[in-house]
Amino acid sequence: MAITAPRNRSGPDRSRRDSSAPLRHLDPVLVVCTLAVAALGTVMVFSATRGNDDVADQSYVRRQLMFMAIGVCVMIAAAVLDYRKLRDWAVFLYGGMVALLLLVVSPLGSEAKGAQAWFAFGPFQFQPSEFSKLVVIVSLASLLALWRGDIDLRRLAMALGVAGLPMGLIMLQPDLGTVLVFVAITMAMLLMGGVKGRHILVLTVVGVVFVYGALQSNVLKEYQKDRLTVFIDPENADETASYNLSQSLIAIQSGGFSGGGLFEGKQTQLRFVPEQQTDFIFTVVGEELGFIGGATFLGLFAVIIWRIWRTAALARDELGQLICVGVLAMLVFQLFESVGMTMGIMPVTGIPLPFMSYGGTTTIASFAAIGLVLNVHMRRFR
Amino acid sequence: MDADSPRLRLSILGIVVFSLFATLFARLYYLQVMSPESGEVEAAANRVRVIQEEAPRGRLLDATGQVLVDNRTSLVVTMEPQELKKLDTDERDRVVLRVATELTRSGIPTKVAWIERRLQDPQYSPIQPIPVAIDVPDDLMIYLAERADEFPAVAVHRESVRAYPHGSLAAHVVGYVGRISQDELTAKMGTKAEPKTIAKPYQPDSNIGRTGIERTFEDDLRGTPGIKKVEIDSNGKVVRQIGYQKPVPGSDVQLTVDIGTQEVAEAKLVAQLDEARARGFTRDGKRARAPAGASVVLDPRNGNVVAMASYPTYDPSEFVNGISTDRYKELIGGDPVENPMINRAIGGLYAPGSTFKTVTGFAAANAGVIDPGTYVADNGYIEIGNQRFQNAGGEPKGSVDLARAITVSSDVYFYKLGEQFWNQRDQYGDGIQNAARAFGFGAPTGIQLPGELAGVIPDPAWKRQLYEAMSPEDQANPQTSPDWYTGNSVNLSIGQGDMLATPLQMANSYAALASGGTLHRPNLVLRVLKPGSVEPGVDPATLGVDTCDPADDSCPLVRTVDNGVLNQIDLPPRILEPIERGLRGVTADPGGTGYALFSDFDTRAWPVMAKTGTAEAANNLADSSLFIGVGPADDPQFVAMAVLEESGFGADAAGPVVKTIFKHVSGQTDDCAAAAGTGTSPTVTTNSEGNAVVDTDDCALDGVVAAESATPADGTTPSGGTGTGTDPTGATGTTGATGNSGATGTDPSGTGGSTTYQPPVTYDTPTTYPTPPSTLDPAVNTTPSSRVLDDTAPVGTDADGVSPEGIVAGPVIPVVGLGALGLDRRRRRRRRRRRRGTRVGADPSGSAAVRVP
Repeated sequence: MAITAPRNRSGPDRSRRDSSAPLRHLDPVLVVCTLAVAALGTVMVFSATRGNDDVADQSYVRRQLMFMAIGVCVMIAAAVLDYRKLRDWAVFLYGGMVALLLLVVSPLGSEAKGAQAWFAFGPFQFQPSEFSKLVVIVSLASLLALWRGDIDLRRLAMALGVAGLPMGLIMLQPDLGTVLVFVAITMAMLLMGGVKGRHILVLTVVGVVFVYGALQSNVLKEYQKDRLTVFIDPENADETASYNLSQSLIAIQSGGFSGGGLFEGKQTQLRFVPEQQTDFIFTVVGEELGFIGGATFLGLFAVIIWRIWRTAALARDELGQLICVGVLAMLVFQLFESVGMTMGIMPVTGIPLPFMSYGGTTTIASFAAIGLVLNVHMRRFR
Repeated sequence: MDADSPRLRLSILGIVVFSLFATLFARLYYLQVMSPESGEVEAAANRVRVIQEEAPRGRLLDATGQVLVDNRTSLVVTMEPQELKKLDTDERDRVVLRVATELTRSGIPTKVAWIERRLQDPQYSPIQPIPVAIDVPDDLMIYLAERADEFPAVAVHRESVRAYPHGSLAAHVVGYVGRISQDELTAKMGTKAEPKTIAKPYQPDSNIGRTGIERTFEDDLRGTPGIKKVEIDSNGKVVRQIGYQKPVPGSDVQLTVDIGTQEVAEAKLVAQLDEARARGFTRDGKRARAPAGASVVLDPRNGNVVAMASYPTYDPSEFVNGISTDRYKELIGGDPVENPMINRAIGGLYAPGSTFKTVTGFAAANAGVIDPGTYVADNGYIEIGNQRFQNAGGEPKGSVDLARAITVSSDVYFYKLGEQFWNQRDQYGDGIQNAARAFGFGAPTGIQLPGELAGVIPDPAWKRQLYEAMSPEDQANPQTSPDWYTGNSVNLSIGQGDMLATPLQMANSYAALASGGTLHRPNLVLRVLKPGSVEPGVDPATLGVDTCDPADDSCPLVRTVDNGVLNQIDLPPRILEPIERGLRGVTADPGGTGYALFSDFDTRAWPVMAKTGTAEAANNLADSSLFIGVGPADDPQFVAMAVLEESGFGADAAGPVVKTIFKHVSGQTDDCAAAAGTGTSPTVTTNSEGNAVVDTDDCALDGVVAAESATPADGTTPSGGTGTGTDPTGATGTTGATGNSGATGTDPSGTGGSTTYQPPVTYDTPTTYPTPPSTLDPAVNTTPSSRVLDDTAPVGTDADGVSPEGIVAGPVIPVVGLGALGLDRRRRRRRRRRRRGTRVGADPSGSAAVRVP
């Protein structure tokens, strides 16, 4: 992956290009890779949910395909509307988000797996915290772009407040996994937005101390040290993290170099790995498609991240650049946490793997995020 | 902020992202490529146990929906040998003692020694829990569960076990279930290195169908085990349940067997064998041991098996929760002829005897050896070389065509066909053998039962192979030969010699005749039905199973079963008509070999085509009695056959079985059918007491048999006091009841014993046929036959009365393996051929082999 930012190609010779045709500057690589990962994800969701009956259970995969269709539409919508208008809407989006997050912890929201994070509409659920990530990205980007790198402690506190309010509300659900995504997004955007290096350092130290202290205060017994999720992520309180992790590791290890074959994974097909269609979806890739499949998936995802990073470098203004960095941080952290936890290098928390995990809100929100990046990419010249 | 700041910061971000991806790649590579096997991971895997919960097996229903094999819940106490081993000796003995004590106290008398024997029983794998008591009361389960730590290695669990509401009925068809063996488990589940995944997985203490339908329809009958996933700690204690999937019962299998007909067939088979034993001797004076028999009822329209009986039989409930090795050895360890585990209907090989004449007749008419309408003079014997082949009893049958030859069971007619087939082999090839193959002989029929034998159709190539497989000493014996002789073909023509077939093959060959040439593969299963979808006793046919879509949840059907067609035989009317006419004559024509037997059967309302057979057995054993009937002849719906080993002539022993079955299916009254349900035979006791004959004669001593067996007692008149019984021509008097063959030196009839036996029934002389030796009026003789016993000595004394007089009676015959063990039988056959010398001409033993009238 290229590290150095390429030269900004927006120059006087291109300044008169027809701005009414931004579609001509679509990033096809990003679109193709995103759709490829999503297609792979759909197959994995099918494998994880088809069951052992003679007639495969298609209910999950059908819904996931529908979510993807909606997601693609949302992605197109997010790409077509000029992202610069978002700056004007950011206040309203933020206000709406806070209202929804308040509502979801009220009796109007519904609880599942120990977290009150959903609105139920008949057969569908809507998880506002997934969209709140995008709203925070847009809000922070608008704010930081406005300040143009001139950030003193007051402004820093204000930015932290903007990010902190939804984080606090999500903690009420409680959904620590999503909060951690917010932390990653905020840190990356503050870094990119021009917060001073020493402030970043102090923030990091404070964060680490806070997390460590939280860990210590809750750890009562030795064996619980192994089960980080018992306190990090109450979502999975009914399952032990060690069980999840061991089953997940068995699954990935048994995949070996070339995998056990699609629909042939024993751990997967016997549903040994809990949440294997959502948070632990990577175990299905690892067991059934092996190192080849896992590496291909990571490679595709790396290309997506590279294109987002490249868009950030090419963006015509700081707003676009910051949006791209926020999306990048969100996707990278979710990927690293979700994949890393199945391989035992990250604590077990409930974070969906973008474009792979089963789930409506997360799939649609991920597509919307890519839509924003495409938006920035298309309008990089004027 | 300097101008490079955004670019620098983006680069920092890029480096962070890059290193994160690198970490993931490295970890993935490490996990999947560098260390595919990790001890740490194995240990983690051990924390989860999957416990299989066995599902109830599907039920077995009969053709009308009655439950033949059911399930019930049983509480089983098991002990785990591996856990026991972990205990020290004192502790172990204490546990065993306490288990024995508690079992005894709860009403199941158990000795320590018995438990120890069971624990050592090699039948049980040392790695699986061994059942030590079944059907224990609930109280004991609670007692043991509450004191689990006092009873290490002991467990009580509920198990769904087989229940047999009809006892041992159709045991050989349904089979039994038993614990899966290590080999079977490996075959089903693969090895640890190469495990197989199957929909209905087995574990070491799973039950599996061992024989019969239980085995062949195992995949349908076996339920899908429930799966309970539990987390255990390092001590193996269950910490919590993680997942549970309910067990799903197996599919029900509906058989073609009809319980009513099956009961009648089994009961009458037992009754006839008992009766033959009670008489003690056959009509030719041999010892009637009557140890075994079989009966088959087929529906010729579709090949469905309506009944299949085999005697001796066993009780499948003995196998519930495991049979001990001692008991199993007791069952199978004795004389093979008494082995109850063999289904003789498919695993017994018998010479078909005269029942084979239809095949020879078809072969000859089909090849053009003889026109069915051509008459052949039957002088009672033919001579080939210096060897003489004669009719049973040497009696001449006069001039016979194909139909007549079948009706009166002329051997000579068929001898001549056999001779011609061989003499003109360049023209006809192995005509009889090919016809036999066309009718399904010589190969397993493919019925859905394990253990089916192919039988033997002897031909020159087979004989040569047999010879080449012999030891050099045997080959040096002048009585063995690799060559085929005319005598071999002659013997084959009447289903003797080395010809061997299963009762099912014989019945099926007649079913092919009855269906106009369609040889069905016999079928035992009508349908596979969804678990519990049919209430007990409800005929699934009334639930629309044949029209609904199995994909529909409300449709009880999983699938219908059709075993297909084996062969379509071209049976032109010019051949079929005379054969059928001949078979009808057997019961309807006064000269027929089954006429007397069917005298109390309304053949006008329900005409019967039939054929008797009396097949010689080796080693001077008494003949096998065979009888095959087809009815109603105008629209055949049933083919019934019976074979009784060492029991005498076809119409005597086997015939009544078929007749009683036909009475049952045609709705004609028969006391035996009513008594059949009890499954016991009243014959012996009642006869020896010499009273209560009314109870027995319909069931055990039908018509002619009673008369015949009674006759020798006083050596004079059979019945009705007509005085005609003392017919001087009685010397040849085995007229009707047998199709016995010629070339044997073992028949004692030549000693004059036959004078003791008079044909109790003969027939009017049809003008078109030569005069038979007897002129008795059948009306006089047959009618009062059931009264005969009143006037004569009890049957039990008959045997004694017979033996001293001239008959070479009942030498104690060395016990030889039964035909069911095909190889054994063949070996025996070999010995016999040597003795008998089928070789014509130069064979020095030839003269000894000839039966001289």
